[in-house]
Amino acid sequence: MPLDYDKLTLEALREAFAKDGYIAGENILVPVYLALQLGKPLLIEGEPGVGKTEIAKVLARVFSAELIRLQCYEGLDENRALYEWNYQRQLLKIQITKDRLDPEEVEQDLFSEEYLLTRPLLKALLAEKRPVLLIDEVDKTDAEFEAFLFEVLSDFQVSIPELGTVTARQIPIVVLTSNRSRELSDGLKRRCIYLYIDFPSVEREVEIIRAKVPEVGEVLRRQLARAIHHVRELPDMRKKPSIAETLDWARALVAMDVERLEPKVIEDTINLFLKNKDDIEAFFKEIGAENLARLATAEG
Amino acid sequence: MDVTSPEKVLVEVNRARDGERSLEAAVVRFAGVLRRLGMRISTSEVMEALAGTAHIDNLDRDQFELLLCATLVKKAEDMPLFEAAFRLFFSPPEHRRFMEGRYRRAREERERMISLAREELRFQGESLDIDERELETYIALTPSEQDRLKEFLERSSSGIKVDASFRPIIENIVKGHLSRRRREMMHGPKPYHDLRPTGDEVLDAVVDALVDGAGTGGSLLYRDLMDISGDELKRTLVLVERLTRQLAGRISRRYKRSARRKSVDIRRTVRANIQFGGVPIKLKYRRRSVQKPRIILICDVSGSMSKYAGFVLQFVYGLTSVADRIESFIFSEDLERITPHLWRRRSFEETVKRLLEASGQWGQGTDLRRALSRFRKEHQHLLTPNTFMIIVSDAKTLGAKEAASHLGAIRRRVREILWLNPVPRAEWDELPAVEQFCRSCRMFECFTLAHLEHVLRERVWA
Repeated sequence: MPLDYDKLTLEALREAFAKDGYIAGENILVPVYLALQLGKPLLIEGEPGVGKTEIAKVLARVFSAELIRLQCYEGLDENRALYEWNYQRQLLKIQITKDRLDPEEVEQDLFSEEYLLTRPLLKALLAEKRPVLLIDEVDKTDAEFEAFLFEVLSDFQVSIPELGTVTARQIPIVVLTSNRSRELSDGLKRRCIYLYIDFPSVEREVEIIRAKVPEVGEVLRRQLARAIHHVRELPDMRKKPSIAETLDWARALVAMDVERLEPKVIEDTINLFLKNKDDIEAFFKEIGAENLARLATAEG
Repeated sequence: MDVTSPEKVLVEVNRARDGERSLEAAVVRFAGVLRRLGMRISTSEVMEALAGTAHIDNLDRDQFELLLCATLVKKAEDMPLFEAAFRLFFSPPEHRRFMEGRYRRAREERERMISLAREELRFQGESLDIDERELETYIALTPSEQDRLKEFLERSSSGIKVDASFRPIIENIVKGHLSRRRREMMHGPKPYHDLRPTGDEVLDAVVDALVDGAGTGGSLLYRDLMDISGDELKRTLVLVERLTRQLAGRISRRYKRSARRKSVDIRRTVRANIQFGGVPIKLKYRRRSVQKPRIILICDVSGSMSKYAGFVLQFVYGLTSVADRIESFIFSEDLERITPHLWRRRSFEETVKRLLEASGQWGQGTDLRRALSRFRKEHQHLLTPNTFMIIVSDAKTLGAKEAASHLGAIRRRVREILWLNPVPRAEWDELPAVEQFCRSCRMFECFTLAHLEHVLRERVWA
């Protein structure tokens, strides 16, 4: 049974997230819940791979809503985010009806919804059922687009010169994510509920591994989570291993029939959680496979 | 009713304060604390926090903290400060009373010291007309320095033919001395908080306790660049790299705008649409290629800048690793091109080693005039309207006048000259060259990473 947006409680949201396999603490659930209750966009920041985008996907699933995704990139503009006129079709229409119809009528017809190519933002506004609008990696766009975005997000309406103002049929559930490659403008942040997701604690990561890769034994699961935790603690990492990488590593170890973390295993599989030459070098210099295995197995 | 009896007054006051302690008032005042600690919080965000209280269990402290955090804090860096402030502000009443008491005592102590200082600084038996800020500086001086100042006042008071008309002169001398000492003392991590007391004791006590070191200590961002130790250099480097990446991002975005302005390529469109009888169904576009600006970096590595050499090197290295078209130079008595040493894949340590070995400029005197003149002679071709020149120097140079005229000539050929100066702005008045250079460039004080971040955020590049 999907969640009912109008009768939402924190408890229900917690249950729905857990049922969907997203292991989240109160520090994640409360901001998500508040964003939903206050009808505000949720801005999620955090290192790559901590599960920012996943929240939008989970929300779409628990509300059985359509997930509309706007992937941001440098140079993204309104045309690609909002709408465009299908001018090829318009031209064809002109050609076909050239001598037959009253020109004014044709013109009116040409700028109707029929000839509108909706892009993610407009699609979210026009949706019949409340969708989840994911604006991914918003830090990659430029300041102008950001300004345009917060205009849309504060009023949930846009004006199309030829059509007039389009107001959202349903206020969509909006999730914005940012990898913090640059500071977002105060204006955009002001309009959002803010959530910063850090890497999970060892305990939480054990739970995540249990939920996502149940084949991993209890001992290895704990060792994995502790090892990854230590690796993330290394200073000056270019890219800290993400949760997805922990899970990949866990799956690989299952496939290799490994039951315990040993130095040799770590050396053989290091490429699964460190994807950068500098990081691998730093790892061997600062901690090394042997120490990591010892650290991972020592406690508990 | 006799409201004048002390007990009654106390009851009234407490009642008023209890009323004020409603949840709404607490949230608003807490937002005030955060603002004074340097966070930017708008009224709409406070309203949102208040609206949020209707949806959570306000008696659950964790939920309440998460609510305030999600609505008021919009920057991950501010989280530790927020948490510390929350702990103090929403602490049990007895702890808060203790804090208020401590703050009140500290304030009384300060007032006592100030009146004592006023007593001590006298000319011919009368207190000098100097303001509280200067008196604070006097309090902060070492006892021997204070004695010297007192001695000076005593001697000048008792001189033959010294009468009351000397008073303004003596006052100015003392003021001048104190403000110079103040500037010298300020040359350190600059507090970014607004520390003037508000009169609200709870609020002031919380801000005071936090500034004392509960939440902000250890942030590299606010540390003076010359105080950053060797161990921290690596971490600083990561930070500098992140900042410079933002900078490079800004630069490239600026030029995207023109790149996006695509226009129809008539020739190709006509050719492509011959098949449709000349009706332009398939449009062909052309777009301007993305032009990233060229950056010229000129860093002062003379003796006076040696304490900042670590920062300068990190800045050069960080910028080189994220920006493509960059030419780097160092100078002290002469200019030297170091671009070939800054090879991207080389580690920072290796780069520094090579630079130190290869150049004889380190720790020499400063001659910007010669450096710029050589630049114009040998590297003139680098100056284009699409070039940003960044100079990192303390502006303490020989031949400032000629250097400024060279700078003016360069300015006419580039897009912008930015000057990062590790000397605090308050001391610029004492560097006559600064004014001459400022005519051709935008100068920013830059002695902490926070300053650098500020420079980058100020849309220097836009």
